[in-house]
Amino acid sequence: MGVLMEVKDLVVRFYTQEGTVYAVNGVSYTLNEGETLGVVGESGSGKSVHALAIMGLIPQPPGKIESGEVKFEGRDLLKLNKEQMRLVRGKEIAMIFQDPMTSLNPVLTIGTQITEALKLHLGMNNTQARRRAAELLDLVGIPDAMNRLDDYPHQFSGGMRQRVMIAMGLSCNPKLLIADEPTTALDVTIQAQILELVKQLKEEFNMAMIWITHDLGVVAGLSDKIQVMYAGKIVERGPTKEVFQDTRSAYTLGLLRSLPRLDGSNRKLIQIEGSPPDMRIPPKGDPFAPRNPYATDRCWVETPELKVVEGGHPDHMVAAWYDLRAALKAEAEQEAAAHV
Amino acid sequence: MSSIAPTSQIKPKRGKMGETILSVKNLKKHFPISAGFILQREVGAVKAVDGISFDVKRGETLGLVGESGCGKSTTGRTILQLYRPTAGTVEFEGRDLTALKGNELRQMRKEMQIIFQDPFASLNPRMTVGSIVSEPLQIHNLYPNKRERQEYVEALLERVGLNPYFINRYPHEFSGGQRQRIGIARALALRPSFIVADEPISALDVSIQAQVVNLMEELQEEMGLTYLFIAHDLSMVRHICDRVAVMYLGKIVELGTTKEVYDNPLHPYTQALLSAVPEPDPSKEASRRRLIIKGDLPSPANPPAGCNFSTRCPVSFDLCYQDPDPELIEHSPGHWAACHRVAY
Repeated sequence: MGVLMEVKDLVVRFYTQEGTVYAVNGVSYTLNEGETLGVVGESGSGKSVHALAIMGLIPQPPGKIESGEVKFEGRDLLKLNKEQMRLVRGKEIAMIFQDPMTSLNPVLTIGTQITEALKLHLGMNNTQARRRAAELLDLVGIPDAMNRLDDYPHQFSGGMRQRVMIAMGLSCNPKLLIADEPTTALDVTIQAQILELVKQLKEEFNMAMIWITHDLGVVAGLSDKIQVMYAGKIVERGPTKEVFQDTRSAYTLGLLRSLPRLDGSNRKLIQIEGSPPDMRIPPKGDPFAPRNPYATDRCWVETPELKVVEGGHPDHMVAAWYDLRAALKAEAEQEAAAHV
Repeated sequence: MSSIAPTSQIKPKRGKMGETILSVKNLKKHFPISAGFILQREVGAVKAVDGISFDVKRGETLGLVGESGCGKSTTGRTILQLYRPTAGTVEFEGRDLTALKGNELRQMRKEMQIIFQDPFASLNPRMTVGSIVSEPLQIHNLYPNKRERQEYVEALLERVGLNPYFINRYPHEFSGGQRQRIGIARALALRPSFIVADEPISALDVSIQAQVVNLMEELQEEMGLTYLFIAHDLSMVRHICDRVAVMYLGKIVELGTTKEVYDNPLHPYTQALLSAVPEPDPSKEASRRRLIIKGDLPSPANPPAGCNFSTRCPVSFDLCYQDPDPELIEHSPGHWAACHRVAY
């Protein structure tokens, strides 16, 4: 698989009246063709802002992309002008958002909104565009598609609206689909429907996907790779299975330990103490250090870089001064000794 | 952590663990739909809660789960008489709340409190934390001595994990998790025996959810609290609840101990719901067979004839499409389900 996109040292800040918000602080990664990347983080981790920066959707001002490159098929998207970017957006890279109620225009019919991109990017005439739009709606599982083109967003349920958003995202056959918490506002049974649909469509369209979420369960079943973000930085990144089973970041471990399991297997939830940092005053050193029981002295003063883990998968990376594997082993030994 | 200072003004809890504290019988809450501009007339009703019955035992946590619009929050609010029910009775500590009014009802409210979902909308932005938490005390004329009241509120704040030093701050100065702690302190101020927790963690970040749930569990043990825990996160419900009631379109479709319902779900809706929950475990996710139910929730203003779930049910048959809808039947001791498929 070839490299589709390369993000290098992306830094985004917002200059607000309440002070400078350090939203994204040096994010670098590569995305392969056809790959699904799950980006996991809590609110304020910079996961959505970094995606908006890729799409050129950061409002400037107050936002500013301080530095970095987003090489998409060799071109730096951050250097494109508005006109050039408009040709990329929707055609090469499409994005679907969390709340389908606010991201669809309430005064335009679904048909108008889907055909807009088809006419603009693919130069279709009205009849062709409408036919294609109906095909797309059919593809995402909306019954009676041709007639529903003339309906307005409020005439659809939440799950159906998200299907419409997906149809719009897919309309020009993009190489990359960025999905920003697309199922967070939906009920679990509807979420299951959408996830199933997306898996199926990904195969069909052979596109790469960045799936942004706070739900580790969703990405566990969906993504090839996972990238965990905290305080505007990537703290762990690797193949999905490795990140879950050979966790190397204390933050990822904290998240996994604090989640209850459906089979009731973890009786006590081990909570992460404290709360995420205020990104107007980014902490020194490793931003997770104040909440990290395994933090070493170095974590408090020096910021760790993302490095390949020792004795693990070659694609598995972590930003940490502490050695989580050794710390957990020592912990287990101590516990075993206490039992004897 | 400190426990709350002994209080002379608030009586100790009576009653035995395990006895019935709350008994809901055939509870209905219909919201009228009006039409017309000046002369409004009723043209129908949203049947948010449509005839549900269950008991809650002292000291237990009963989970109420279901998707948005199934009536779980309305149930919680109708039990507390924040909405007056259309029909049915709510017996709390042996008294029918639906027959009480005014001061009598207010007296009962000391015993039953609520924690809301949205910690941003449920705290008055113009009141300090101290006045938010002490407002219930003022309403019920407890701690008339200002200094004693402040001491009690400070102890409460400390107990829920907030620095008592913050007593004069305003809600906007706190994070979501901290605000939910303020909401919990307010609910605890009157030392109630029963708390309705209406999606208390849904609005919180993942790393904060466990903090709040652990706090709620500690408080329950310490104070012998009974919870009605309303949620849509099924993994969390499994963790915190002793028994669970699954709601669909205003009705309870399955009720039983958490273990029974999760390990041996009877109703096809419960089965679909459980199979739809994504689990943070890639190997489990890879091998899992999903039972995906088609379509959306029907409108509660116009529920289908027969079983409410019949329009989406993968195993429905002719009887399911006819009135009356299936009744909640006890299939094994303590495990109830409302489904023709299970019954026959």
